[in-house]
Amino acid sequence: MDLTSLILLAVFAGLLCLYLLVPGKLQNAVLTFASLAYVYYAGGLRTILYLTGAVLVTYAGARLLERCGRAAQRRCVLGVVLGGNLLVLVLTRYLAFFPGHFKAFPAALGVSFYTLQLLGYFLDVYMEKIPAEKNFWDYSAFATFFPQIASGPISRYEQLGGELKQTHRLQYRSLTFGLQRILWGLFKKLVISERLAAPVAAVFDDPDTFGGACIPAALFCFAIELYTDFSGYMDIALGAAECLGIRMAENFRTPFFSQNCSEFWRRWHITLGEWFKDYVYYPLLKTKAFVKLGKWSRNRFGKKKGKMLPVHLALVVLWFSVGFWHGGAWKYIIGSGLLHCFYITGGQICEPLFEKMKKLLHVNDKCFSWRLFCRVRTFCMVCLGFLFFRAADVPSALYMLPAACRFDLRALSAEGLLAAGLEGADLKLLAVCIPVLFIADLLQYRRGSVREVLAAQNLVFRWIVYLILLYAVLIFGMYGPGFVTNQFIYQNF
Amino acid sequence: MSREEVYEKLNEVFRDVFDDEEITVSDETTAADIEDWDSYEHINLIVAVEEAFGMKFSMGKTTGMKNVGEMVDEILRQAG
Repeated sequence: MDLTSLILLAVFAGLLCLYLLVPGKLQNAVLTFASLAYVYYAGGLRTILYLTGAVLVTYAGARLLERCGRAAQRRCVLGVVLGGNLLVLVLTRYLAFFPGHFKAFPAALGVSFYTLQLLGYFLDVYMEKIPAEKNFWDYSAFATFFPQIASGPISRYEQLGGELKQTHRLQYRSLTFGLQRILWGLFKKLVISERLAAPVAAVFDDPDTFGGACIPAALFCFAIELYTDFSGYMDIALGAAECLGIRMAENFRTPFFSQNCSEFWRRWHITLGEWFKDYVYYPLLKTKAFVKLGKWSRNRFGKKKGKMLPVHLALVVLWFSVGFWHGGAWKYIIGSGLLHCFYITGGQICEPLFEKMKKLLHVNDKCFSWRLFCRVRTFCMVCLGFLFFRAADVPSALYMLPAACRFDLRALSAEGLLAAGLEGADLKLLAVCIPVLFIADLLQYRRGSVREVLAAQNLVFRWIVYLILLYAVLIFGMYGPGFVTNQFIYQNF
Repeated sequence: MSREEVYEKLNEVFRDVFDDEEITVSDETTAADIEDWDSYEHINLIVAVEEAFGMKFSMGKTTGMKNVGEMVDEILRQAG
């Protein structure tokens, strides 16, 4: 999907006009057809078929649930809808994980995102959190909404459905804020992420040739590449929705300012973490088996320690599921799942020990230096997960691990990133752009919204900032004839 | 069962789960008011309340209740 495609931009402008002009009752039908056209453009006919099937099954299943009087009937509908959708997901995405030489079904664009979103709606109806949607166009607009289809966010019906039910008309603030956000997303993707992609790929594809100082440098670059790629996509998606007057759930809140891993996951890919917490972790802890286990462990290990056993066991299932969702491969299960589970549960178990050590060493944990230490420590721990995530497989990640853990200043020299294919001019540009990204994130962390801060400034200053950003994208963005823009990383999931 | 009786029993459950004899909950009490009431403890609390009152909360209620007042409303509704 080429974001800089003139056709895409022209179609979006056309949709914007049409959507904001048609009567309110027709807006969701317009949005559904426009979204399906986009899905066809970006994912082909196969994605349309899979998506339409999932939309019809979850819509009909939710309606049917409300007509079922008996619990057994409801469970039967739950089994069919849940089983059907998960079967498609497994057949298209995760078949290679299982033993045997199965041939995977052709994958569809964004299947792991929209499956979770639609199942989230269906489960909400099953759990009686929300009533089933009767208006098909309201539901189909929610299910197929084009900005989220490829990489999320994984929206909830309570939030996005409510937004889509309203009539939207042209609003200056929504339109300008949306365009500003799209521009910022393009800056992240085309200027920073695309520039880092080649040297990162060079090192990770051939760690033997580079080795040494290159590996920690490439790992740091990958952390920035992944963040700017994924959060850049979110800015474009949420910005496009905002132009239409529709607010979507945030997926990132300055994750690299987190002081521990639990906080990191409340700031990174937020909607995925929330989904697994609400639909896997909580229901699991409420099953009879886990309640029984809790009682047994409280009797066996005492009240305080005993109650943590089912919680930690459920966390293992939760994090395994999160890792598995990223792709049926152990590198994801470890890098985006079990490693974080180890950090979080290990942190909880060792907390009394850490507190004792802090007292013994007279560490002041209420000052800036402690918070800075916690942030750097969390970033390094997260980078270790990224090493598994980006490496070809687990043995490659383990092979690169010793070098990745070695702090080596040569990483920033000609032996480091420059040797991996990053040109001197690119390095200089990144030396400006990455601090700009840091300052923008810091502003967002402290003030909540950079756009609000900008909107409060004088007209001349505002426009200087907008124009610098626009020209930065136009001049330094990596796009155009002869350049193939990399797919968004999460688009493959 | 009256609202006062529910609160009497509920306070005992809260004190037992959070290991704090000082806790007294009201309609407006939320997770933000009790230091250890995080997502880990939330399910422990729900299971303990279910056992104490001999009832089951749906998952929607488990994750959707915004304060103790809503929990008491649900207990009274199920108690009939």
